[in-house]
Amino acid sequence: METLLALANGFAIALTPGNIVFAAIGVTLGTAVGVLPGIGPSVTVALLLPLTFGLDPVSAFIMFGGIYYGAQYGGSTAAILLNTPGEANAMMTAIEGNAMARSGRAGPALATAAIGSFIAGTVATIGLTFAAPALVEIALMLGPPEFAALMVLSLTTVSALFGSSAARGLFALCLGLLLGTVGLDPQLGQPRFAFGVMELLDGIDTVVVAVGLFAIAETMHVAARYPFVRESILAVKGSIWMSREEWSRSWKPWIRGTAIGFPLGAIPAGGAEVPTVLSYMTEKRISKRPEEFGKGAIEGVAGPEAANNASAAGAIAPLLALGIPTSATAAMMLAGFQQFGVRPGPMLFDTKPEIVWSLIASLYIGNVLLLVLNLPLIGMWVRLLSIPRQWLFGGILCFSVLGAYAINANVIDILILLGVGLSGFTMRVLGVPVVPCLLGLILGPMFELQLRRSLMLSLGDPTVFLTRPLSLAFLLLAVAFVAAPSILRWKRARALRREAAAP
Amino acid sequence: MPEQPDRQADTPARIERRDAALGLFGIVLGIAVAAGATQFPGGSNYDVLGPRLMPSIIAAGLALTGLTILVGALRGTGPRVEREELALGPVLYVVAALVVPMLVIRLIGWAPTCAFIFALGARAFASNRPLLDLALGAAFGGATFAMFNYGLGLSLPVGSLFGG
Repeated sequence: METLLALANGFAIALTPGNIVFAAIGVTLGTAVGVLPGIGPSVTVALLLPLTFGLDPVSAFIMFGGIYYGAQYGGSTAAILLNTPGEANAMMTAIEGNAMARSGRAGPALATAAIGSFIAGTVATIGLTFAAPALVEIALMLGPPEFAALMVLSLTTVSALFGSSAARGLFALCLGLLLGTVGLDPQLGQPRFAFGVMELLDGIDTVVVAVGLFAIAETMHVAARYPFVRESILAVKGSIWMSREEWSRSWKPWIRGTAIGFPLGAIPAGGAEVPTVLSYMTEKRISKRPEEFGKGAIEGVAGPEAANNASAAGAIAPLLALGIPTSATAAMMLAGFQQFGVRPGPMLFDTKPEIVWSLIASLYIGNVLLLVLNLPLIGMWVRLLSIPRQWLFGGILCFSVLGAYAINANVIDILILLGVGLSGFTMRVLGVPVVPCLLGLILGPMFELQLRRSLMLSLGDPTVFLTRPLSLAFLLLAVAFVAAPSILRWKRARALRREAAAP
Repeated sequence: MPEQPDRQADTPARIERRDAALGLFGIVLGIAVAAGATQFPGGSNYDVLGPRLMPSIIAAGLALTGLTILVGALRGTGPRVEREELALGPVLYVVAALVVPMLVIRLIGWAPTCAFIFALGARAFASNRPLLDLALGAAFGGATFAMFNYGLGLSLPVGSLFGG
């Protein structure tokens, strides 16, 4: 009951003319930047963050919410019309959506993505409204050891499930954690890894690292591939409306996708890829026409898009209630909160409920705005996609340097941007995923705090993580998730060897 | 001047060397971090290891993952990472696009700096209209300057050359 009251209060704040305008700006900017090739939702949030610096927190977060949802939508538009999806969670949409576009059915693909996103987003936001306070209740039961163990579970599952190998993902995580230790140690103020450079004593700025790892590294990568690759943008021919048959084929995948995406997004573990892949495989298995998959089956767009958006909305629950992001985009939102000195977690719901609930209310509004603004504006987004790459990336580089410099008017930040960008590019080339690095940077300090608090609570006894049942459970789950793929692979290899050896 | 891209397709042996180097890097970095950690004071009052705790965990993590990657590379059991052809010339232009602002932004202010970034970035993508790019960059710089300084209340530099 008090949840609904709080939500009503949130709406009262979010529906003021000024804040509606902010939501609209957020949604439009988010889509516009999210549409740009190579720029996924997390980079979009990273690049647009500096724009919010001068605003007051409530309005800024409302704009974030709009950017968050808008960027997802922009990303799927790009995935359908271009053969290069911006981020991993758009990959399923890219497979079927692009195939549909190639056979002249780009309009229906975009429509099913938009409508599916709206339905999934709205339902999931309703779910979020109740899940967030529920998670807060759970969070209040967690002591430092449980929290630390939960963070281990989150961080390791997201890192290990990303990319080509768990080892690389965890390596990236450690790199991020290392970057997070640069500066003053959180409890004693001991300078660490600052090498006497004064600007580093404050730590390395998250936004700079995010922009470097995503925007700069991506720019370098696309530049390095540019002489060899020719992208083609598919035209949106024919009607953008869906036929009756397409509607009837879409609505169940929308529901299924939402049902798969929201719970998986709301748990503080796993990544954004799992729900979309799961949805795709489910649709393929259930479909009466599985042979269509890979050639433009509309279910393969409807389901994963719904799953993607539901999972993105769901991810806001652990973000707000626990302060644990499970995707790069959520991590950037957390970085945004940190810039404003707002610490998500159970305390936030108590001390600053207006921020939480106006954000959630603005997500409902953002969803509606997206549907209303974006389908008609499709032509504009397509034109954005056709910007010559020279100017697109020129602009991205300018905006990146702008963002990095504007934080502290410090030239060192541009140097860090370059260094991180080069490292990110190298990581890309070597198959090391970049997202776990960012998560390590953002969550490292909090993780360390919880670790040390736990040890002080247990009077120095490190087995506290194993003796408390919930903490032990989280840690075992973490080990299981990380080890499972390798164990499965080993078992399969052994079975194959046995088969080969049998007479 | 046409770029000379690396046309050699990566052979498996070459791939594993890269991965082995990555693994080795991880191990070395782990050792370095551990060494660095010993410089910090230990903890007190049950704050076990204190400032050394996190770096020690990180060092172990880096070394372990590095070792796993190295072993995978040497045994050939590592993942098949897709190797693409890459031209490094364009990347150097991107690097330049970031180095130049470091050197000149305080001197000439944001808008002219933006012109350079834009033009260098465009050149990375084989643009052959440098003057147009410079003009576009300056315009973009001017627009963002106005937006940030007057619209958002932040302050981008005017440049000491222009009396900022």
